[in-house]
Amino acid sequence: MNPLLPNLAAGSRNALLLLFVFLTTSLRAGDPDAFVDGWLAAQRSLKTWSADFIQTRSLKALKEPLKTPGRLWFAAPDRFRWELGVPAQTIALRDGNELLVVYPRLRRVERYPLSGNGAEAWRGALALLDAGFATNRAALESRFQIVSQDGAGESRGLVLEPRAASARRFMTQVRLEIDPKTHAMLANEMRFADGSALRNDFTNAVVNPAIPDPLFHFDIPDGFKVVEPAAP
Amino acid sequence: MKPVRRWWWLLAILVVLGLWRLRFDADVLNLLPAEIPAVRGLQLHREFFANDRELLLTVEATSSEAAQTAARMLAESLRPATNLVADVVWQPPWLDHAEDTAEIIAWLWLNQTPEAVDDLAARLSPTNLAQTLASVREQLATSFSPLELARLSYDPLGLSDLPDTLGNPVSAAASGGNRMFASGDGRFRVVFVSPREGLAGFGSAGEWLRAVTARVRRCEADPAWPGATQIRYTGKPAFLAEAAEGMARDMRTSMLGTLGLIALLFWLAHRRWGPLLWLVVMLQLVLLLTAALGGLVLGTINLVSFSFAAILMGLSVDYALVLYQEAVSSGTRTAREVRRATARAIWGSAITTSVAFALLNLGGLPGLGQLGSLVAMGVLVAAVVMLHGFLPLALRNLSSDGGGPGRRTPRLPGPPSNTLAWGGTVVLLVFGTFVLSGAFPPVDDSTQPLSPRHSPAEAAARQIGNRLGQPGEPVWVLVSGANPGEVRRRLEQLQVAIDAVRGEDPGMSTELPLPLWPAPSNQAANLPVLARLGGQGPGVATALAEAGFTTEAGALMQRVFGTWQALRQDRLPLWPAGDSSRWLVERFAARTPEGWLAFGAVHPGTSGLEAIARTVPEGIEGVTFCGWQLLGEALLAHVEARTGWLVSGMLVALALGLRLTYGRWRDVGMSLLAVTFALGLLLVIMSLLDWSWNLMNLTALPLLLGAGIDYSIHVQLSLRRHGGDVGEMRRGTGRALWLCAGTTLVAFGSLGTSSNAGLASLGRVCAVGIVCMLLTKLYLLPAWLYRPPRNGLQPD
Repeated sequence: MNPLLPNLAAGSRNALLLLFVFLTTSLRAGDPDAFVDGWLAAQRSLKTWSADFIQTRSLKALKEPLKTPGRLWFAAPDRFRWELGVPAQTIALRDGNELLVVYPRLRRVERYPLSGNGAEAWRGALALLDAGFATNRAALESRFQIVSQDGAGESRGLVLEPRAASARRFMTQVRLEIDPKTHAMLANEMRFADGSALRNDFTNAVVNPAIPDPLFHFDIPDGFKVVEPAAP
Repeated sequence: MKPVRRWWWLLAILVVLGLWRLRFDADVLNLLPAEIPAVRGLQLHREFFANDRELLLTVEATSSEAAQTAARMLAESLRPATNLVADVVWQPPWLDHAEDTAEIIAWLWLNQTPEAVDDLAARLSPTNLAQTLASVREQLATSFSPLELARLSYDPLGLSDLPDTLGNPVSAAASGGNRMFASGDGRFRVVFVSPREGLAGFGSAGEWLRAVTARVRRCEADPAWPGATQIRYTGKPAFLAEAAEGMARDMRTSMLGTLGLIALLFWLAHRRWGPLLWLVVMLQLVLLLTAALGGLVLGTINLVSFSFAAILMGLSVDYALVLYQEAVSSGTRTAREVRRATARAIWGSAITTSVAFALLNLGGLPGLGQLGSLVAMGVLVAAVVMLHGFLPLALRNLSSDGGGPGRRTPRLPGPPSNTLAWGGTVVLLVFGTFVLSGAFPPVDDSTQPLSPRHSPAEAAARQIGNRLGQPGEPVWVLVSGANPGEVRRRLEQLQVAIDAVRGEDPGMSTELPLPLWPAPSNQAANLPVLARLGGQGPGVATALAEAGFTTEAGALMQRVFGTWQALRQDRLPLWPAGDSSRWLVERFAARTPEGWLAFGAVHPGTSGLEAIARTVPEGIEGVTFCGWQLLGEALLAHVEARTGWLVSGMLVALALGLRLTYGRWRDVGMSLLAVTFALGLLLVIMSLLDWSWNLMNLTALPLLLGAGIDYSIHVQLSLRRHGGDVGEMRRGTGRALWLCAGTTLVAFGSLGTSSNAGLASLGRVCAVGIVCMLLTKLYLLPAWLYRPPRNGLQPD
């Protein structure tokens, strides 16, 4: 691969990382009032979580958004498995100290180490992910500023802005939609600096399901090509 | 006009003309022999490649944002100074110019193999295009790769996904990578600054750098400047400024210090203001006349060669001291009588010293040859000035002083007994043999002696290598050819050869400009295909729109296709012509009077530099490896091959000169024996002090031969004049030689503080060598020559 627009490429890479962050952070995000505190308190009891979703990508390059179904599994504190497409065309999972992105159809695995030189961007992003599992306001607000709340009735929106300038260069805003009664995550949306947006609408969410441990591992089958793309 | 006055006018005109012609050069490369390939390569790179003229500002900050902000602010601050800079680049220039990106992509496709271009044409053919775009939409919907998402959003046709991109910084930069500009963590960046004018003249680099630094400081004072950000300077202008300022500082301290210490020694020895004043004036005159002569004969003098001044002062003062001491000790008051008594020794000494220094031109190092020429001319000038200028003036003052000559002068150590001298000789021989059998002074073949001892620019350059992921200094490779096609063929051959060696040493890596160098045959085959493809632009745009892509997604395609269409009328081989492309191309390609030149680099692996040499099998022509780490060994071999001839030539010249001076072969033999003994002592001391020989101080050997032979002449002729009376010799010539050695020691010792590591080691070795010479000639040589009678020594 030979990217010609590295600033945009790096931006999107970070944006995608923040997508992972968001998927879990948003489960625990809060605001200054009692609603946020209540939501954070509800997250403290969350050990695992799974849901189906429809992902909508609104890209500047396309006139109409792209919609793709998928499924997400999460286990505190930092493990996740993300499958996009049915059957899965892309699988992203954190396995130990590395992030794997698997393209089954292409028989290709991208391996992103989360330690060592050049992994600062990934580590930074996953530090935000870790913060998303924090059960207190300080950890959340160290990384995000709660900009506003909106909505009423069955859905309430929280708008967050990354505090780190490096994150803001790529992702300008995160919006969470939460059920005010159950504190369940209904949807989340990220807006990027280039005007693109990515939204996940969750359905069939299950709190604290039993998730088999092997789901967070991926044994690379024979014939798969493993690559380590350059650091952003 | 009287004839004498006419001569004075002629001399004055020549001096003015010489000083007017005199130019200084601070580039250390000009000191080195161009016939060595490694040197020639460096000179070619300096002459033809833009990055050899650029100042590099390194920016180190606490975060990538801070580094980026600082680099951008620096560029924005320097760019308006159009009187100073031609260009400032802080990120790949094509990022700011989309049309240039498209041009580079279009050009890179032109260079691909015809098979790759056929694949592209098939992918974008009307029959396959809809399927291609559907696949892209699916990738955009499901890909997790941020790089891929970004690329496909702006390049859905995959035009930037070139199949032939090697992992080198230039091609990576061409394809949008940031490795030339920023470290992986983004906290370290490099800003490239091109000077408006050439900076060859002495002081011009320093002056320019000061102006740039002033603007950088103003930028740092801006409230928006990110705190805790460090700026360093490197690149050719920084190195030139360092060298010129270091040399200027050396010249000030060395020349003024030497002059001051000479005056002090003279005052301690003779306590007379008049002769002292004339001595200082005459030394200045000698320097002025020699500099003018240097201007007339050589034109441009390298700053390292200009250190001749300190050596020349140390040698010139010898003549004045011998003349004055002779006058003082003998009681002779007229200049004519003193001149008659000493002229033979002075001229003998001046000519042998001059020959010795002139022979440095055979040493293989142009810089030291130039230094030798200047000293050779200078000592002859000094002999004339001291015999006909200093002597009459100093003696006139001496008469008007009214005091007795030599009063209150310090006593010198008395002559050792003959037994003591022979005993000392034997002890030194045994001890020296013991020391040297254990450890002979080693030879340092690095280029460190050519570098400044403390170089912030060098430290910054090393930091760039370490932070941009290329630790260690690469070996540069230059590939020349009559035309781009020939260069391309040689680059391909070289790549194959390097790959073969790399099979044995995986640590080796190469950065050859193959992905960017025009491939004429590929271009010829691809041009019609791509031109045809370029004509399909409107159809492709329609297909993109029908597949749901915005016009923005098709912008890059439109530009690339437009470039392909425009290329049809051009001549092969083609080079990209945009400003950004030119910036890139100038880093690896150059047009020379003989043809074309490509620049690349090889990082030695575990096999080191030996493996590099094996990468050029016979049959590949036009390949030159160069770089400072190759230079040391090549230069040393070059110098070593000549040192034997040089020393032999000097010995022959000295033997003949000494024969003319002494008139007896026995005295010639003893004189050379004494010199050899003294050089042996020097080796012993070097071994004890753990000093090594290097490129620069190797030339101390002929210098010491020439300078040390003086002492033999003065001692032996004085002994002969005084019938072998050592006491008499020591009262006159001996005292003068102590002073001479003191002043020469000061002159060479002052070089020991030079900012140039090689000159400093040369100064130290010469200073110790002079002491060895003096002690041998004054205290051992008389005993070897004469046996002790009741009153003085008799010929043995």
